[in-house]
Amino acid sequence: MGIEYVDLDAVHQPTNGALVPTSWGHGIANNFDVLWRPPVFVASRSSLPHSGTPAIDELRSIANDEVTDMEWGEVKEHNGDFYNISDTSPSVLVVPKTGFYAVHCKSIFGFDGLSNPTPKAFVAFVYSDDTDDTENYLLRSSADISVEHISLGGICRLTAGWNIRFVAYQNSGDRAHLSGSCSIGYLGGI
Amino acid sequence: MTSFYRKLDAPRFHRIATGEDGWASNVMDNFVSLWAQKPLLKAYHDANQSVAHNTTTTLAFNTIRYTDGYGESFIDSPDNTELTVTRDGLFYVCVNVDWGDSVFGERTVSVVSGATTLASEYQKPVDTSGVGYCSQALSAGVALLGGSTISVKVRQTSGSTLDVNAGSTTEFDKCELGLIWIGETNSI
Repeated sequence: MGIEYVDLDAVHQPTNGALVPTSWGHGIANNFDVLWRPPVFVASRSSLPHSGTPAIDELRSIANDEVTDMEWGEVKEHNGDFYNISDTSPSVLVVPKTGFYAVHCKSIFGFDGLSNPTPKAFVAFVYSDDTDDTENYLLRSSADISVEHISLGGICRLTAGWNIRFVAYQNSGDRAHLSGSCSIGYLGGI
Repeated sequence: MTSFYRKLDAPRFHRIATGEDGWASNVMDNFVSLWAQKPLLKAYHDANQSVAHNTTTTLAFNTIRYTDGYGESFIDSPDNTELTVTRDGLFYVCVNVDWGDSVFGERTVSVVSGATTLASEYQKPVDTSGVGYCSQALSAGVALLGGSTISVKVRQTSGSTLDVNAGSTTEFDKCELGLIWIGETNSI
């Protein structure tokens, strides 16, 4: 789960007049390591053709009327063990460190030529404890959308070990292309 | 509560070799501020808020979800519509608004500081299915001066009064404001 915060006062009380021990200095280095390289996950999923009516590609689309985990085929940045790097297309991530995170997702739906080109659609960031019986949503939706872009962002406090994922939904009547990108960045806090 | 960070002044404070630890104490304060007690606040409103047609309305946030460090505070009770920033710096702000159903008109949510709009988000539902639900999420990085205020304003043009639905103990459920300090900036 990455480097943990060191309470320097637990190593050495600055007010007791004793010389600072080496372990205290190591704690400083440890804490700077995390502040300089905080847990982050930045990824995207395959780009969408922007002209004509593209064939529906199973790997780049989501089904009609199903809340679907977004898979991230292109991981751009990754610190902190959000996922097993042997997974080439992660969707369910694990919080590496307890604290506050900034979360963003940009999605682009492709509804041209589908049964209903202005369907209901949403994207959401979902996080839950390890039993999956408690879920919270950061939701960005639109009533029947004439534009294809939906973005969301927010901050939230996450606990190490929780499952996190981005999900998407559309009810165009057909599979619909979905591309996008996401980022999750640790901001601090214990 | 540990003091907010103090910049290290090595010539003045550094007495480690002789066991005097003012400098070491400052080191710990800095880590607390940057990591352990990051200044932040999240709040929501626990009741629906009515928004008249074509009337800019300031939302209230009457319940603190969590705050930490030297978190910002609502000080203009009883209406809880202004958040006062207690220090200079770059902040990350986010707002969630969930509207009552209507397929008509436009929805706008903005974060403002005084007369200045810091960020805004706009949606225009299209009437094809008759559902008309609408939720908005807005986020931005903003530079603020200590003592300045932040408010969230909304506007809708559905033709009738709409509710901004209440938040709840479930995070991000409908009406929520978040603010977290990122660090100092020289641009303000």
